[in-house]
Amino acid sequence: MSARRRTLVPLLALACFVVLALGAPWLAPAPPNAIPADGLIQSLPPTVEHPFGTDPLGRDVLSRMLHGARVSLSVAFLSVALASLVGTTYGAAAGWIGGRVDALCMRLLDVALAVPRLLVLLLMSALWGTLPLHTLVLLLGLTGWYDVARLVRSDVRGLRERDFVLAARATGVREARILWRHVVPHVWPTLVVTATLGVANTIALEAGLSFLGLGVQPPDASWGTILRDGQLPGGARWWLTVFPGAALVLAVLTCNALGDALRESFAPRQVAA
Amino acid sequence: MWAASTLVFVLLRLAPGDPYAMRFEGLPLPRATIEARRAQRGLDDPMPVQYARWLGNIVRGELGWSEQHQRPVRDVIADLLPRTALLMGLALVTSLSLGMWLGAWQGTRAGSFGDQVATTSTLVLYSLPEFWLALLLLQLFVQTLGWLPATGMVSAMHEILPFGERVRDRLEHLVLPWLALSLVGVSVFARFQRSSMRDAWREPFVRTARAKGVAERGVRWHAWRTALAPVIALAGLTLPALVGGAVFVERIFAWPGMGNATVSAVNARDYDLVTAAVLLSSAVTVFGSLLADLVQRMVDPRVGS
Repeated sequence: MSARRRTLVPLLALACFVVLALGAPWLAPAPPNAIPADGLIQSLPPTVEHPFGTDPLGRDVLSRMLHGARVSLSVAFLSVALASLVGTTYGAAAGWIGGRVDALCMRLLDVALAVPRLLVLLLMSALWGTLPLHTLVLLLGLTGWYDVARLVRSDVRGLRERDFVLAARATGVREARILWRHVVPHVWPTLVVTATLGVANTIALEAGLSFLGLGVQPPDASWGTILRDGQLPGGARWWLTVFPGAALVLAVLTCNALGDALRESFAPRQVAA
Repeated sequence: MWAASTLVFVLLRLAPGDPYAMRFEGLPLPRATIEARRAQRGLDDPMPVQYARWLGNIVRGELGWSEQHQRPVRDVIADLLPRTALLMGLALVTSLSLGMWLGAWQGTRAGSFGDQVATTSTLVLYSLPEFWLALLLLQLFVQTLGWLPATGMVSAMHEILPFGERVRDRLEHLVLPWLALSLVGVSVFARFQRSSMRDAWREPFVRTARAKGVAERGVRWHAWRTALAPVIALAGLTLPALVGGAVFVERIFAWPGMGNATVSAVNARDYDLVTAAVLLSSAVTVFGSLLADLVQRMVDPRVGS
């Protein structure tokens, strides 16, 4: 595949996911939490009426997956946006100021990295009891910015010494403005690649947390909670594992492929995956 | 290490409930009894006092008492650690060796058909969430086909089986969690090794070595050594998993290791066990990055000079 097509294909796939998620209320055959009126509360394999089957409460899995896409994708997008913002600010500030401040900032990052992310999330969800959705976004965002900060910092340190910075300074541009208007735009490629790969990572992480019962809370549908419903006692229900799982893998794969392609097209240089 | 475990110490105590509230909730036990136990363990003291006591114990090598298991934390960890280390160690060795081999092979023929197939497959594997892969394997091989025993580390009759059967029993329980972890692990290492090997393969020294008449094997060896740095760094970062365990995979296969125990310890507010687990994992994190640094210097003398 040409480099261009390698970017375009995942980009289109991602657009499809977004359209499906946004259009869920119109596309879904049934409301996501609707329990059948005829009292047929049981998990049935796929039929024409329910192409992906029903879950143990008799709810239509396809509808839940479409609505789950809204939750899963928006949680991932929003928390990665937050992580990018925090990480860029932190990394840019540390790299720009340099010296002791920089050293201290990097030590603090080392501390944060020494605690496994999953454990922090576990503790936090214990702290909150049940997590409202916006708190989950906040938590994922505030524990996901370390890599961004490191990469931005090392980019900024390199850019700081460049001539165009000197030129801007010589013409009397304020420091803060140089940083934000002249230096940070150069960090953009790094940021886009890291964020795309970050979305892939976060989609999987949210699904995992929700699967453990620590992320999105029932009755809200997310791909993770549907997978969790498939684990309720009462025998193996492959349709509750395969379909939401396939959606999950496709979404993660799309973002990873897009990240890889963008990285190659921006610069053939290696950025930590 | 100190800062990390302190952070966890504070977070854990901020969380509502304590070991007693979790354990005795709903039991017909007089409040006074619970209060007395609490006071005895010093959980009524203000947080700084508790913290000072905990720090003093750690410095003396005392990890504390696990309220959940009713045993010293040291013993609990001594039980859990070998199980996790066995599973994670096997998975790490497999991922590292296979991943490096595959990545290096791809790096020397970047862009070829074989490389493209391998790149696509590793990308797909890399995108499989570990917990879902584990779930799929469990449903396929255990629940549907019934080829392998269900979950846990050994079957209920393990103790009375003859030696050969016991080994077989262990392996049967090990294979699925190992496979789930390794498939994803191989793809991670292969992706790293491929891109570093590809970059090394383009360096002028490769042509020089060829021009000097070095055999192709030797050229590959030469390039590979310079392409090792990022892979070693990554392996160093993976090291803490040896003591931290894999939460999702351990949970799904009910593997009685550190990852599983940490989750239930957090839920039970087993303060000492959680902080000890974090202490251990951050110690290995520091050790891992030091080790990676050391190995990098050994393999490539240019690093750090």
